[in-house]
Amino acid sequence: MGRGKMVLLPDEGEDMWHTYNIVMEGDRLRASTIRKVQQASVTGSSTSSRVRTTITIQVEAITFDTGACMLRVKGRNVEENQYIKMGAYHTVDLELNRKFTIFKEQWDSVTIERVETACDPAAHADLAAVVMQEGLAFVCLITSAMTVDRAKIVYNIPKKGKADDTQRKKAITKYYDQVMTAILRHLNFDVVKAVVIASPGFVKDQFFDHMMKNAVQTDNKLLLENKSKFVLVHSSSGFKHSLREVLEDPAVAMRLSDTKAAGETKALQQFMSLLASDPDRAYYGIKHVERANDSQAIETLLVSDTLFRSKDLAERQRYVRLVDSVKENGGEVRIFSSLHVSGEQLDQMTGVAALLRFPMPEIEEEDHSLDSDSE
Amino acid sequence: MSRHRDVRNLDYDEEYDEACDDDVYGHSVDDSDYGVSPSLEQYLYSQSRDNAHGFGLYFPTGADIKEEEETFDGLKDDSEDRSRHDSSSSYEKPPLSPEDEVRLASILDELRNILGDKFSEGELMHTVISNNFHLETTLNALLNRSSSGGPAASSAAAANTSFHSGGVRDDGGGSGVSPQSLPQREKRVRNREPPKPPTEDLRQLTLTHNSHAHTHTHGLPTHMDTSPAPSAAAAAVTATPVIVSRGSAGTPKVVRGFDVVDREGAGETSQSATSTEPEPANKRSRSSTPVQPANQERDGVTTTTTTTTPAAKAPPKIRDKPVDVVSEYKSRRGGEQSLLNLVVVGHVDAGKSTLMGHVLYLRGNVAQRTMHKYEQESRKMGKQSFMYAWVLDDTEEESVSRGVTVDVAQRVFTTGHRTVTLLDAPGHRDFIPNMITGAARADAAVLVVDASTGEFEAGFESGGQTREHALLVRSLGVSQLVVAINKLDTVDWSEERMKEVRHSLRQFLKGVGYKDIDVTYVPCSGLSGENLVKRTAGEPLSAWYSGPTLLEAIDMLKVPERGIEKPVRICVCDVYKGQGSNMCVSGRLDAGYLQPNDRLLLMPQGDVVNLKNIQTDTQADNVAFAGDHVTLTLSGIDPAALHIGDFLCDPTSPIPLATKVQARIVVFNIVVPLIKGAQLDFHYQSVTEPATIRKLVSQLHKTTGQTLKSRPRALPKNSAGMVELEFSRPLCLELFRDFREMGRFMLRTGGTTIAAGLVTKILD
Repeated sequence: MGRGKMVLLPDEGEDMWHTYNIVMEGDRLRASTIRKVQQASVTGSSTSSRVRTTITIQVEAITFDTGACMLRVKGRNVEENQYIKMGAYHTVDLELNRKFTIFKEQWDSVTIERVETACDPAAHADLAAVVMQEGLAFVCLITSAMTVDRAKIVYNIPKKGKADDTQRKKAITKYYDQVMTAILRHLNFDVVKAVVIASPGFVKDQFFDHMMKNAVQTDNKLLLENKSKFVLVHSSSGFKHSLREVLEDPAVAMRLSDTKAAGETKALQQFMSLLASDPDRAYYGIKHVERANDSQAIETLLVSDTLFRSKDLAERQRYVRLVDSVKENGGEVRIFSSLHVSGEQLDQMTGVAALLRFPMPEIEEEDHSLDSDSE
Repeated sequence: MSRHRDVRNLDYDEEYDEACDDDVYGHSVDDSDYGVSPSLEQYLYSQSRDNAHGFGLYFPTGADIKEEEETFDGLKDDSEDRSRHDSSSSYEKPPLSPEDEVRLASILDELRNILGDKFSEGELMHTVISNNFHLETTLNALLNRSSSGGPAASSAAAANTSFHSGGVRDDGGGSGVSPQSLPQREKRVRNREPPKPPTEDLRQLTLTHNSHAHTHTHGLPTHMDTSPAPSAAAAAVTATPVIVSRGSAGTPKVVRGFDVVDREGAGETSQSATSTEPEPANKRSRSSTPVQPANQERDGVTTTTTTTTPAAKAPPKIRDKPVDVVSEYKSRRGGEQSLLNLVVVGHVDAGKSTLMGHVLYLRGNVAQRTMHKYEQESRKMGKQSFMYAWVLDDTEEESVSRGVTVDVAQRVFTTGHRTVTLLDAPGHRDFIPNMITGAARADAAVLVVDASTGEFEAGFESGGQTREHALLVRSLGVSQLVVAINKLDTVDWSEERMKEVRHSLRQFLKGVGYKDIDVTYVPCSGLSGENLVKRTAGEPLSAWYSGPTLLEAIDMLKVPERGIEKPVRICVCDVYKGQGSNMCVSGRLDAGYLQPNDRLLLMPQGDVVNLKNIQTDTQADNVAFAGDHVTLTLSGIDPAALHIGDFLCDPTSPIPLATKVQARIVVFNIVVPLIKGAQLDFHYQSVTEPATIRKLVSQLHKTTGQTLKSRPRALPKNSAGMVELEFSRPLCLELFRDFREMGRFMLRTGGTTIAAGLVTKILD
């Protein structure tokens, strides 16, 4: 706790996501970067050249590109530099395998824990998922901290019941081909441990048959060698949020075993079932949860990492205090990645939820007299 | 659409030129339409709207030029007046040459303009003829005759003095245009713009308008100013017909041609007037009509996007007679032909497809040869019981590999009093979304239950689809139900079994909200065909059952009211390529009626499409009414822009778009309570979209609708409540109170139906 600096070396795309959750506005960041420098010669002609230099900036804005796993940090230069003036703006694209240093006035427990999880090499299982329904498909990549959309395929398939169904057949074949192309293009089978194909009905089976037939015909070694990695799972729809069901499926859960995604899904499921069976032990919304925490009632706290990215320092600290206090009281804290479907769902329901040790019906009653809801 | 437009710094000259060019090269007199955003639409002239007021009736399309000129002045009052005068006056018009007739009419008109209704038609006519069609002398004669001069006389005198130049034209062109009335006329011209012949499209309308104001304001002053100069006077004469011809023919191209001649012929004087005048003229006309800016904006911004204006309904549309539609509907869909949309639902493997396939076969809707083929093939595969199901499950995956219906099949057959559009829904729980799209289109339902031992229970107890389907169908607004108790042959037509099944169903259906009288129970066997169309005398069933057969029961279903007179709404259920470059869409016409060549607005894209062809069942038809299942051939559409779930609607009253709605929902028997932020699948017509519950507004009493709790933390099972739903993209939705058939939706998640609801308010 307190001020200090930390040197980090990102070695995979996911580390960028972690960094995104660590760097805050107002921190200082020292990193290697490329800057276009213009130099005016004595004669007045100017040359511009690109130089690699190390810069320290005071962070003003951070953007994360989920698709490319890129982190861009914008800020003003705060350290004298050969090329860059003090106070000049610069945007750093953090690069893989290059060290950078973060200076913070205050390292709180959540951030430090984040760094620790990011450095933990154990839990790594890259999983690819293809969620489909007739005419719609999502190809996503699930790492321990992120779910990244790789491709969305929408294809119009005529319905049955016409005299000639060649149009329909053609459309279906085209649709399958598109999904297959997306899989081949976006998934790296060296990294991916399993590919889940999920759909309602028979779409998944038909697609898998089609893909394998195609692979045999075209002698696609990549697919044939990785045939065992494919897992077919039932889902209720082809929308992205049905990924949650997919991750709950025992066949997938086994493969994912201890990964964060599976754990989060499970925790959320627990919360939902508790809400159904014993609503006085399941609360969501910061006000309710804080009240429960005051009575040291929280057994498991579910909190989304978006809340810690809040620009408002006071708000951020409020959540940090909550997390610390729950831990102090022996409760379990699960910080959800907002990039996972479960985290997305948690975000929708205010981002914070708690499973209590004992029922506290008074919270809701109290709430009714006050009639305040955490928005 | 509402792109910012810097009106103050606008270069009007350029704007004007642009508009001209556009007009000349792009669209001259063709009758293509331009669309308009819903917000603009209310400011635009709509032909159909005016027709509703009986306006258009006074504008016969093939009207003679002079005739039309006349109507400008008094619009309908005038013509009405005249007819009244004609009928009331005893004056017999002497036979006149057509030329004189015209002259007479124009002079009469002028006179009435000046004198009002003081003289009767006959009197006027007589005086005109006796004065040899000379306006001035006629006027004098009339005024002298009238004893009380007053204001009328003075005004007439004023007209008199300024009438010399008018007289010249009178003789030449035969059209009496009084200069005195010109300013008024100019005003009238503006007001007159709307009732143009229907071939005019809106852009032309406004452009004409533009140039109109233009020629009026500088063309005529030019004429006045330069009248002493003989050459300019000649130009002036040409200038005047410009107005006339424009007004009558209404073709801006023609007008412009004249305009050019005028400019060239008149030389510098009018040229300079033209160059200096347009700006203020433009400005004035712009401010004078709300139509103008709207359209100008379009011209400036999008020249390629063609959108419809309500004014531009294609002429072949015979929509000016709303009465006809209802009678036409009655003659076509009344009595024997009344159309019923019937959905067949039930647990998986209850025998829905077999039952209905057999009915179709018995009604002669399946060719003997096809049936024979199915029989042979199914025997070959050892699945002989599937032969009737294959009538409906005709795709390979459904018939051969799975033996399960996946998607809704649609067929048409007739009963004694009904033409029935049959929708065979899938029973498997994975395909409930498909079943919902089918049920959303239905007026009544057949619930098929498997009566064989153990099977009924499996389908009926939790996890079976019998309950869910019955509930879904009810929630989607279907109140009439025929329960087909199927496969009774497997239990030796046991009456006991029938009673048992009926008893448990009755209990349940009542709870779901079906009235007892709306539910008919029919024992039958889909495979053997017993009691489908008729009963065999020797069968054991006849011993104890004397009720209707399945077909009779279907025949007795009531046909609901259709919203024929509402604006057109079609939810696209299927899209495929037609012949050539046309696209075909099919779906149920939810409201309104259609005719070929109608223009429809595709929402949410906002594209205008041309309806080329209508097919109901399998034949082409020249009209379709609400409730029909239609296949439409569309032209003028990018195939990639059409999606299942889009809406086609009347361009004059487009379907609202919403990303956030308030809805009343009834929560079903669910495990996890509904909480804020829940992500659900939203099923509406044939649309399935992810939706999020943004807010739980209140929990309501299930029957009374009273608010039990505002802003509840969760909605538990079997409760009702108000919620706010948000979608990731704008959806076309109708409110329940506007379109009863179209305000309902279902919420599902994880393969179970969570809630049914009604859209009550569009928030965003």
